[in-house]
Amino acid sequence: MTSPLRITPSPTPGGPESHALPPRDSVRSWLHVMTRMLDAPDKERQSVADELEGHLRERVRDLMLAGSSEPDATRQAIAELGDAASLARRYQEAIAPSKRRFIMHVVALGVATAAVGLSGVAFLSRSEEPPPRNQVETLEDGVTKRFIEHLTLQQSPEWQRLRVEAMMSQPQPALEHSAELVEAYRLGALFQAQGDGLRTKVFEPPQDEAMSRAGDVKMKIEKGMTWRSIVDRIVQAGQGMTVRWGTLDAAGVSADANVGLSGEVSLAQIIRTQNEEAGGELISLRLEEESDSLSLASTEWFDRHECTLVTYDLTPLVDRRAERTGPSDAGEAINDASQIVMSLVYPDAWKDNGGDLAEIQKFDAKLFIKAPRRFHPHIKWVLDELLAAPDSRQSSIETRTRTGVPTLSDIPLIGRLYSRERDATSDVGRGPVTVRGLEGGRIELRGDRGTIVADEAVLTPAGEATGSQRAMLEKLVLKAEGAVPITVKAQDGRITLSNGETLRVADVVEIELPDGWWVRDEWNRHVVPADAPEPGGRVVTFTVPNGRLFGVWRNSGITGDRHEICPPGTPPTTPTTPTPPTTQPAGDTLPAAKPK
Amino acid sequence: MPPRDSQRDQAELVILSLLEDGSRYGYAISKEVASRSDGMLRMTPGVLYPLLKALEADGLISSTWEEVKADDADPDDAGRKRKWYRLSAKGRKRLAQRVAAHRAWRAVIDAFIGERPEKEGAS
Repeated sequence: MTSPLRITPSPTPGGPESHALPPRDSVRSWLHVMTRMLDAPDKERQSVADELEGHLRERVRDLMLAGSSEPDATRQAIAELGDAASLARRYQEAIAPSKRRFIMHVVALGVATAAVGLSGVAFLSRSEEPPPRNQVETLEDGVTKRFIEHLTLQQSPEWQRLRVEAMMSQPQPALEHSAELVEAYRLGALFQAQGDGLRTKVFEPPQDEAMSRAGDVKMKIEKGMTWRSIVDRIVQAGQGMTVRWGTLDAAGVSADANVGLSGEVSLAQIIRTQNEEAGGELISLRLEEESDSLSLASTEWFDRHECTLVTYDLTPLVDRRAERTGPSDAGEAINDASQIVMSLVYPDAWKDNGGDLAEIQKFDAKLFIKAPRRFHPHIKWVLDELLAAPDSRQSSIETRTRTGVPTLSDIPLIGRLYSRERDATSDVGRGPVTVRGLEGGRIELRGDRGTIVADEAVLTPAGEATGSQRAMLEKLVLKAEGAVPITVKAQDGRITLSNGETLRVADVVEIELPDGWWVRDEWNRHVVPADAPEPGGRVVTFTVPNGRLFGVWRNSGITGDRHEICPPGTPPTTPTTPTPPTTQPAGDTLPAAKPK
Repeated sequence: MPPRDSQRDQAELVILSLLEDGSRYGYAISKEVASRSDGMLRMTPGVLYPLLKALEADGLISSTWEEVKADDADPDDAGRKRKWYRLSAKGRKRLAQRVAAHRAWRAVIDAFIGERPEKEGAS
């Protein structure tokens, strides 16, 4: 690689001019991420988001009245809420205080295939004590894996160990775990869910013909009407209908029970209301095509009588896995696929998960799935997505290769982020990635292709946190190399780095200068001289405290709008030489502390 | 048994006390907590809002959404809704219990430190 900056482009396509989303969008993105983690009905999530948005707006306005710029005020207001995962957990506890929290002794993370599916979590015991030190944690399969939505990694201050928090969709709101080391498998696959190549697709259930017919069957019903009288009315109106009262009764819906609605309503509305109140799909309706009549029974009854066996041929998936990781690992693709199906499609129904409605058998590249008829469209959608996923993964890997080292900013992150690049040339790794805590509270992720360091990382399989990056303070740590000067500029409250070939945007930049490199400001003053060697290298840190660039080297610093980092042999002239400010002595003072 | 004196209980006591004076919305509560305690007490939004949610789930407070009046905020806010909280009867009862428990506990502690000169007590 010829570029002296081994950096990936800004996560926001388009460079510096597009990095600054309007602050209000930052707020919304952050709220979306936070509320997405709540295991609550949409209405509840919306209520939480509305209230927090109101708070953030008022807080931003107050901070701006006190003198902050809008981006700064927005960042601070969001930072005051803490990290999204913790806030979501606190809300979750408030919503469902009885839900249990477990401390895991063993955690590991795996991504079975491209975009979905984490494999491998087990909790061995419930304990408030941290596990013994110096123990490498490994991954085992377990019952909770399918509920992991994302992991938060950070150093635990009290344990001096790595804290791994898994947000669970259900039934537990969160799992906490402490470890010296955590092995995360195929972290590279997590990267692909984020960034330019992000491809999302939402499962749309097929149209339910029976319910759509029932939506047309409208009637005026009076308060206190029972199920039986409603069915009578429908039949009198000429719509054939069969009702299996026994199954409904077993499901807790008696023929003489009040339907609880009145006014002009459709049969579909009555059924939906009943199911919503029951908190699940208690009763279902079918359209008998031959007789053109409706059939009403408990969902469980239909599930048991409409079980169908379907084969799914996953040969392309298995072949691709064999190509990538060798033939001995190819069978794993089928295992992964079946795990994903059982995790995402009515998890409780599967025999492997303790249910009795559905089961999967694997043979070579085929899955034989016996399940209620209504499961199959969902299963097919998931498997179609797995078959389609490698395309996006492939392009993602190419992107990484082309642009250099992925940083933690490529992982969906929530909250503050500092990322660091090291001497890696490609992906962090698609084999096991080791995550460990470092001194100073940072986390190191080490893979077979490189190492990255961060303060906190949130890993999600679905990359929901794209927008939250607007609220992060991103730090780059780089080493200068090559033969081209690097321009450092303050722009829109952030720092842009450019060598004419690569552009990078960050909030804080720490750049190490090899021997012979020097730094000059826009008035051609040498902030860091070329002949000032220092053991361990010379490091200059740039920030943008007041919209202007502020460079610090050892205990001296200088402000300006543009600095240049020069390789040995750069001519000591500068294109423009305006009069330097008299209030700022050359490179030897720190600016006055910024008033709070 | 001495009363539990956890931070959560203290925060609950503060919120219920504020709401006894009248209904308030979240941001107003956080500002009032800071101002009435001269900044000694700060209830971060990350703690405040989940706690309000928990108190509401426990039936100690109730809430309603009300539209922000045009003369109450900047033009951007007009039409936006705010969630106002008020104390419920159950909350009023809980507040009385909390206050009594807090006073009893304070009296117990005062019995030990009450006569000590302030200077010594501060060292």
